[in-house]
Amino acid sequence: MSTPPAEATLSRVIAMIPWIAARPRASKDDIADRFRVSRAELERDLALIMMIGVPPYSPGDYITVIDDEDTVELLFADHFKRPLQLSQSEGLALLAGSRALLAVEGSDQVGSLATAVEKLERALGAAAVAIEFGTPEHLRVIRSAATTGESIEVDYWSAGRDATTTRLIDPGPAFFALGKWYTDAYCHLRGEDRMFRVDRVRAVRPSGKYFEPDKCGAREPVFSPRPTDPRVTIETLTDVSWVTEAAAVESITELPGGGQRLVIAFGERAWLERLLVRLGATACVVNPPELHDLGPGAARRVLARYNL
Amino acid sequence: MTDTPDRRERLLNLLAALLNTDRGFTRDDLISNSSIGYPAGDSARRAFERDKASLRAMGVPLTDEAQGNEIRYRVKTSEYYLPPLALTDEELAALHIAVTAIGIDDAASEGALMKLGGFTGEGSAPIAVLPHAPQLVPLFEASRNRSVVTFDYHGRSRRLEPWGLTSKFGNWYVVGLEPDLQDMRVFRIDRIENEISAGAPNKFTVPSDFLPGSYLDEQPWEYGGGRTTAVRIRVDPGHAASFAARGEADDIQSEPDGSAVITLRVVDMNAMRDFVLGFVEHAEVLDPPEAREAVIDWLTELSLSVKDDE
Repeated sequence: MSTPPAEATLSRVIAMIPWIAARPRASKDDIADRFRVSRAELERDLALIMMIGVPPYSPGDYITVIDDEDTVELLFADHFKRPLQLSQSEGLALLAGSRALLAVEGSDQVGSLATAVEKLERALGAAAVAIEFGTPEHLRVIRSAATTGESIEVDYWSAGRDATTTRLIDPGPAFFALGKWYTDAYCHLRGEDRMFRVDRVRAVRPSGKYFEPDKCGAREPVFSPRPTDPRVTIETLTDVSWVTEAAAVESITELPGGGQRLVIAFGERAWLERLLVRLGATACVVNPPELHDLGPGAARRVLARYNL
Repeated sequence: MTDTPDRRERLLNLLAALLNTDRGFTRDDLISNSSIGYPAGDSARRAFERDKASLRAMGVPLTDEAQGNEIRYRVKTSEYYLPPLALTDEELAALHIAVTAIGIDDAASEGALMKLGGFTGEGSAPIAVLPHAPQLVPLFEASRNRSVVTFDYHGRSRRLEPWGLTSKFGNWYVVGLEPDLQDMRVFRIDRIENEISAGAPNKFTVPSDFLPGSYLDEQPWEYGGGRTTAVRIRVDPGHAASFAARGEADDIQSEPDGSAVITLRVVDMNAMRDFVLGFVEHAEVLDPPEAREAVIDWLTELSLSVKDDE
């Protein structure tokens, strides 16, 4: 049996000791739930805690574990009476996550999360962190339809084909990724699940039809391309990591001598064309060959607009 | 390689000993104490070095102070102990919901919750993912410590009092005062070009009414500091509304054919070009000439580019 790395056990144990020590006769089930261990692992952790002592290691210098079948009590654990400070990454993750959830429209501005954030900021002397998601025009009605399970008719602009179509959709819970709000919805027009960008919904009308709403939350936390979407390989001379915000980048390889090679999944040529025009002359398509001229060709078309 | 229970026991005893001393211990004090559990001989020193590294990697503030001709190790409780937060179980459950609803750095948020008293409640389905730029953590740390930071941005070295961080529409920005210019500035964090170097702590104060988000109703082409230029762009019918909605235009002149001439206030010409080119042939930069030329040069270069092996 392999043993988890010492650091992981240690981090858990030194977080657990102050919590148990402050609660005489704490329930072992509760401890196991909170610290995400099985009862068997908890017993192993307690056996470890029993071995901790400080110089001069007289009997009273060891932590005493009073084990009472389903409850436990710790004595002489004073040097571990407080948990370890939060690291900078931990402080940031906690604060940014909380600030972000408070920024989602409809969240409780005076509830437990708000008071928790206030306590955290006061105790940590934390930096100001503010999050804004933006609220596309139809976000609220789509979120409400996802909750109530009402199918909606939407006018949807497809950037890939530069066209607006009207379709009936059953929206899933809206989620925010890559800087945009999305909903993973069943599209009655296509007869399959499709990812819709909420800011591209031009109009929403109620349909009076209902579906079984998805109770388990968003299906995909991040937009994921379908396996059938074509892939393109692009090489660039400059660092274009920003593309990962805007596109489904499957891999980035640093090239010897500088530059990067990116593999990107794309749905429509028009979309890829716009990306290539924005990347400019320092980027070129290496695969598939029939797309070599997609960027330069688009550039010539735009130049024609400038009478050149 | 896996770690034996002995090593975990040894690490915990080492940490307990280091927390429980005012004077500190020398390495020999520690490795020769059989109750801590180091092996005999030379391997004890190597084991001690490895243990030090493990404790530091976990975030334990292990100090080594030279006293006379020896080094004494200890962990100051004032630096180790998390200050009491007095979070209720409802608040802990709310934090659990927040970090599961918002994806930013799962390992870090799980570590944080563990320290605050473990996981309570059910958490949440994910509703948002925020990007995690590598420079976020050093900027957050500098902002907490009130340290002035130095970094390169658009090829120029900048000094900034990082007052706060803000994320809008999926990008992270640092907002603060440039002490050399006595002016508030906003920088996009993922565009910072090098490592962030932070100076000494407690070098500035942040006004209590400071709100980082309030500096951010601007568009990408309005960042970075420098001269503002009014750039006029003609946008085709059918695209003008979308351009204006996304562009927060300064001025919009609608033409009879449904097209529009839109004016943007531009500091960063590259960001403006990037935005306008997203509309390909449906948008045309009219003036000033240097803005129009910049777009034409970019496109001309691209139109002439061919793959090397052709």
